[in-house]
Amino acid sequence: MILKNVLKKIVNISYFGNFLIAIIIILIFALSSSNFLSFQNAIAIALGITISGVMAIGMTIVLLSGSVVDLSIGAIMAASGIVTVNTLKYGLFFSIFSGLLFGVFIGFLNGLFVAKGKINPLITTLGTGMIVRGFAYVFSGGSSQSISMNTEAFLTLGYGRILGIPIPVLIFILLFIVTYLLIKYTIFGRNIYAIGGNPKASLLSGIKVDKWRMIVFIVSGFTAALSGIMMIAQMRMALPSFGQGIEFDVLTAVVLGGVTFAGGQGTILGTLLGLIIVGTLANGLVILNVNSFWQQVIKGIILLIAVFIDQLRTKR
Amino acid sequence: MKPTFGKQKILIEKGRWSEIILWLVLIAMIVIFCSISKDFRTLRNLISISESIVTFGIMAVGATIILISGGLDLSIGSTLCLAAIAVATLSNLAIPSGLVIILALVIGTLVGLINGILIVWGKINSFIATLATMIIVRGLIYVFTNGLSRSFSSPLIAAIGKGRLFEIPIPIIITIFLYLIIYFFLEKTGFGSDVRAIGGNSEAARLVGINIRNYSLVLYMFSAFTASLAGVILAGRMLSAQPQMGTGYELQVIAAVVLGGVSLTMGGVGKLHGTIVGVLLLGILSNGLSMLNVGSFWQQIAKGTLFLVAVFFDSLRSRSYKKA
Repeated sequence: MILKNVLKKIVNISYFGNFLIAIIIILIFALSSSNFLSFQNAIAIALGITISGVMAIGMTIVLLSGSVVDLSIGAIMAASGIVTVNTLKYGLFFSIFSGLLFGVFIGFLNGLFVAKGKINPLITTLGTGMIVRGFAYVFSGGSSQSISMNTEAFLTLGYGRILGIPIPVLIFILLFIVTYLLIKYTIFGRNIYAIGGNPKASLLSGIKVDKWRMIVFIVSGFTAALSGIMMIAQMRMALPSFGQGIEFDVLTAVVLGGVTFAGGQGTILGTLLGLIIVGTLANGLVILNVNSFWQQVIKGIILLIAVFIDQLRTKR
Repeated sequence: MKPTFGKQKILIEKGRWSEIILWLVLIAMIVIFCSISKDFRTLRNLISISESIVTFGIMAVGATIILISGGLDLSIGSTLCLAAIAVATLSNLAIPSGLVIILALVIGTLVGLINGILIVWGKINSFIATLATMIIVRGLIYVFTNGLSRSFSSPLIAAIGKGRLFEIPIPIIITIFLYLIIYFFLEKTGFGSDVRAIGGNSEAARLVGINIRNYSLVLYMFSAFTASLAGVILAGRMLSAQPQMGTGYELQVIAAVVLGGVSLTMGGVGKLHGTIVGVLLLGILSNGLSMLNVGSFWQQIAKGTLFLVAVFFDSLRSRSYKKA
């Protein structure tokens, strides 16, 4: 019981526990591998975080608004990449636009099912995820599709650097700052927290809960599509199997960062911290040459720990 | 005769109607497939349908009870694989087949025990807990097998997987037995009404004196047991086990169960015979689509759509319950 109380105290000092975890992980890896502590590797970790990080921004908003979870993001990511590659012949901007539009459209459908159809978000997005993944395979014929036009532009998008920092990292940072400001200073953030904290009270005080639920899923679809486009730029091709299971990695980072399933609690800064922990861990395991099958086991265990901490927090 | 109240009556009436509609859909589907495809109406195809249905059908029993009690188990696909791998590995160690089967079932059921502990004592959301064990168990299987499949030979396990008794496939006999036993428990004993009570209103069930913790533990173990049984049968049919076996089965099983009228959003609702229709519907749909040469990608889309339609009707139903 004493242990439980101590645990609760550590967990409750909002970010302290997570900072501690992050520092411990970094220390362990730094001591066990000389390659870990270098600018090169810091950039590699940052690059590794960006793709799931962009999705995590959408996922954070979904969780904050009390809409449980969006499990379709992995499928949206793959399908958006394929849509983008296939529309490249009509121009770079059109193709990126249509990729993003696809994500927004699926997000809109998710929102429609959840807000108007009153279907459990978890189940809805599981179903749409299955369907969208199926479409990704149908569109692509099940094979990989390489970027055949505008290769130059895409390479810049995936590999270009400004002041030594990769462009994908810059996109992530920019998106993060914009979301942070939106949540902190605008009606968007206030309403998200309100409907997450108490949907009934929000409804009574005049917030259009259904509308905001839909917006939340549209944002999530958008971020998933964006990360899909970033993915194909880095891989130089689109695969229908991209992002399989990535929704669970994203969810782990977000929950580890202190956003609760119950909604209304947590911050986007916490998500960033969760991302850094998960990203550092993944990178360190690769550097230490840990078998990829073991990595999956470790990821699952971290997910469990994250939810367990979440549960301790919520019971406060 | 138990006393029925107005609300319950409406509930039962609605349940009955949606079940009749499901049976009609099933019959219509069979008629359509039979008239379009020559391959569909062969005896060989009937056997192949029944083989594929058996795996889902056995897992669906566990999933039905878990859903009725208000929980969810996503780890059944991984558990099925674990049991199958256990069968293959242990058989190669020259352990007697009977013992192999028992050990495989025990190993699989352990996953359920872990799920139950996480959910009951860890108080972790059942969706997340079983999702994590699904990932962990699958990872451990890959670590253990190095990603390679294992084959084995054992007359007894082969008989369980594809043997015949009086011309009836043994897996089907096992499935029917399982359904009869669980039907009896669910409908005719206190066990069934307790499970429904927990799913319907766990707080009230606790106050009445039902030990929810013990029940949850037993139910998750039972769910894992059904998955392991399906795994043993599947391994027996193929005489090999692959580390990717059963991936995604959990969704199809849940889809079948929900289609059959067990509610995802509210526990306590649903019947085992509904599950039978749901399993038959999904099994015949996927077989029929294959017979009509529909590509596997399109089949996935069709299944996802069916899943969404099923939960949409579920949500309509539970809304009308709340109004009633």
